[in-house]
Amino acid sequence: MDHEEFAARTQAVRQRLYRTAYLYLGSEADALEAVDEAVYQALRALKKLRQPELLETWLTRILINTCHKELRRRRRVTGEESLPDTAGPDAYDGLSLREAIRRLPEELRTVVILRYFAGYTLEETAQSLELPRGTVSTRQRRALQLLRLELGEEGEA
Amino acid sequence: MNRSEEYHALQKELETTPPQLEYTVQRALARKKSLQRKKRLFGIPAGSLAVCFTAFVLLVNLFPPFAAACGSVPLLGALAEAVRWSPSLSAAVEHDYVQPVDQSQSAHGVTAAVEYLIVDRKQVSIFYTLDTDRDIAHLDADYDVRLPGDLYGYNSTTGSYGLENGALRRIDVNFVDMDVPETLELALQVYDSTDRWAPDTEPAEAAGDYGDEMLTQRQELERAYLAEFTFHLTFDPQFTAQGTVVPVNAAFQLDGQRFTLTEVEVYPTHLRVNIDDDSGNTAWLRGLSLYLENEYGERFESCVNGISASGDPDGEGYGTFWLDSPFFSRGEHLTLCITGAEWLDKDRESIRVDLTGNTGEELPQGVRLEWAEKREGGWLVSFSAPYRWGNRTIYQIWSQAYHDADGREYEIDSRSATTSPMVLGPLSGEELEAHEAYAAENRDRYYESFALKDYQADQVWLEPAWTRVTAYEKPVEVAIK
Repeated sequence: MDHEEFAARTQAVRQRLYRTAYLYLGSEADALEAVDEAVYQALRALKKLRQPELLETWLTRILINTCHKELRRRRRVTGEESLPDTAGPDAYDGLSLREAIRRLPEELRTVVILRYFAGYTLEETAQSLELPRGTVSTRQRRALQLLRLELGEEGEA
Repeated sequence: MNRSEEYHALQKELETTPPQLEYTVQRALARKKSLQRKKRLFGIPAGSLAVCFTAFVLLVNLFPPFAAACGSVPLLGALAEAVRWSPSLSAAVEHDYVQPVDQSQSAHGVTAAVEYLIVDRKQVSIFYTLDTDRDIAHLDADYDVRLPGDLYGYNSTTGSYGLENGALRRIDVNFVDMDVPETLELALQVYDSTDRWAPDTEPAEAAGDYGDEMLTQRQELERAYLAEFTFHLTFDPQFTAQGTVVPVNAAFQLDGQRFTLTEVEVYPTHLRVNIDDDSGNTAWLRGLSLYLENEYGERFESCVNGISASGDPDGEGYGTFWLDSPFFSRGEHLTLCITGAEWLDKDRESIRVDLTGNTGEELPQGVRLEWAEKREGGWLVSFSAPYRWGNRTIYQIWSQAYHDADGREYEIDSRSATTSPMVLGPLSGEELEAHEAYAAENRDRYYESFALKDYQADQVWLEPAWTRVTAYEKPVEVAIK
C-alpha cells in the first residue's frame, strides 16, 4: 500500500479513531496525541501489514494499544484502576456515564467504546479485537448491563 | 439526567472533533520523513546499505607490488600505500587520476593537511595527514563532511585510525541519490589518541562487564580536542564528470525468482550494477556473491569501501550492487558472474523467538540462538550463523527493528559482530579452555550479539536480514557489454 492510499483511508476513519481515544483517555489533547501516535506507528509499520483490506481494523488495534500504554502510565502515577470484575451495576450507578465507561473492566470497555461510540459494526469490532463475534456480543451485553444502558444492536436507545 | 440522556449528550459531544485532527496523517508523514532524515546520519539510511565486515582475512591481491613500485616516488608512494587494499583506487593512482590539493592548516602545535582527492561523479576519496610538533605520539581526528545547502544522500567511511603521525589517511564519501557536488567542507577535530594506540598503556577498568555496557544508554563521547580545522574542497569538473552508464536490460532468473539487470554505472572509483526485481517474486534479494570478468580474465570483486549493496529504504531488497571498477582496464567486454544469493522470504519478514529456550519459529538457515540472558536492563542475546560462499565475511543476521507481542516496535542500538563466541566478562581458567574448545569446534561460524534494552518479555519478534542463502556451483552469467 502506498502512502497516498494510507493517507486517504486513514483520513476517512480519523473521527472514529479520535472518538475511541477520547473515551479511553478523557481529554481532547490526550486523544489527539494518541491518534497521532497510532497513525505514525501504523505508517512506520505499513509494509508489515499483510492484509491491506484490514487497514482500518489494524489501525484501531494500534490505537487501542497506544491508549492502553498511556493508561498504564497513568495508573503508575495516579493509581486509578478499573472497578473489579465482580462489581455489579450498583457500583457504576454513582458515576457519570463517561466515568463509568472508563472504570469498566478493560475487555468490556473496549467493546462498548468501539460498538456504541466509535461506530464500529459487530464484525469490525470483532476484527479489531481479534475476537469471535459471539464473544463481542456477550461482552457488549454485559457492559450495557453494568452501565444500565438500554441500547439496541446499532446503538439506538 | 438519566443514562439514556447521558448517552445522547456524550454522542453529541463526540460529534465535535478538534480541527487539528484534520492533519493527523500529514503530521505522521512529516514525522516519518524527519526520522528518515535522522537515520541518514551520514546521508544514507543505515538500513539501505549492506555493509561487509571482513574479518581481517584480507585476500592477497595484485596491488601491494604496485605500492612497492611506487615507493621510490615520494609523493605518489604515500598515496599508493594509502590505497593499497583498494584495486579501483590503486588503478586510479596508477593512471594519475588524482587531484592534488595541498591545503594545510596549523593551530596549537597541530598541523592538518589535505593532500589529494580522488573524485568522480559518485565518490570522493579525501587523503589527509595529521602531525604535531608537540610530544604526542598518536593523533586521530573525528570528522564531519558538510555539503552546500541541506543536501544529503551520501555516506562517509574511514578506516584510517591508529596510523603514525604524518601518515596519509583516507575518508571516502559515497553519493547515492545525488552526484558529487562542486564543493564540500571537511571538518576535522583532532585529538590525542596515544592512550588508545600506545602498546604500553593499560585499558581503563570498565565498571561492569560487556553486557552491562551493551545495556547502558550509549554516552556521547566527549573528547578534548587539540585543534579544529575546516577545509573547503573544490572539485575539478573534469573529475566530477567522470562516469558512464551502460544500459543492459537483460532478464535473468535466480532460484526461480525473476530479475532484470537494467544498467551498469562505471566510475573510476567503483562500479554499480542496478537490478530490478519482479513484483511476483516470493523473496527479496538481500545480497549477491558476484564478480565481473572481462575478456582477459581480469576479475573485479564486490565490496567497495565496506559497502556491498545499497537499496530503497522503503523496500526490503537491495537493487544496487557495488564492485571494483574496470574503468582503467583494457578490456572491452564485461560479464557479470553470480555465484551466490541471499534471500529474505516475503512471508518470513518477522520471526518469533522464545528467548527462554529454543521453542520459537524456525530461525534463518543455519542460524543458532547461542544464548540469551535476562538482566534488569533487558535481554542480552547472541546468535551465530555459518560463513558462506567460501569466505570469512560477516553478514548481519538480524535487522534493526524488533517487536513485542502487541506489535510495538523497538530498535537494537548496540550490536556486536565477532568471529568467535561472544563472552561478556572475564573467564576463569576452565571456562576459558571450554570457550576455546567451543570456538575451535565452531570455527566455521560467526556471531552476532546485541542488547534488547528495557525489554523484559520472554518472546520477541525479530526481523531477519535474510532467511536463506544459495550458492551456485556454476556461476549465473549475465553479459553486460
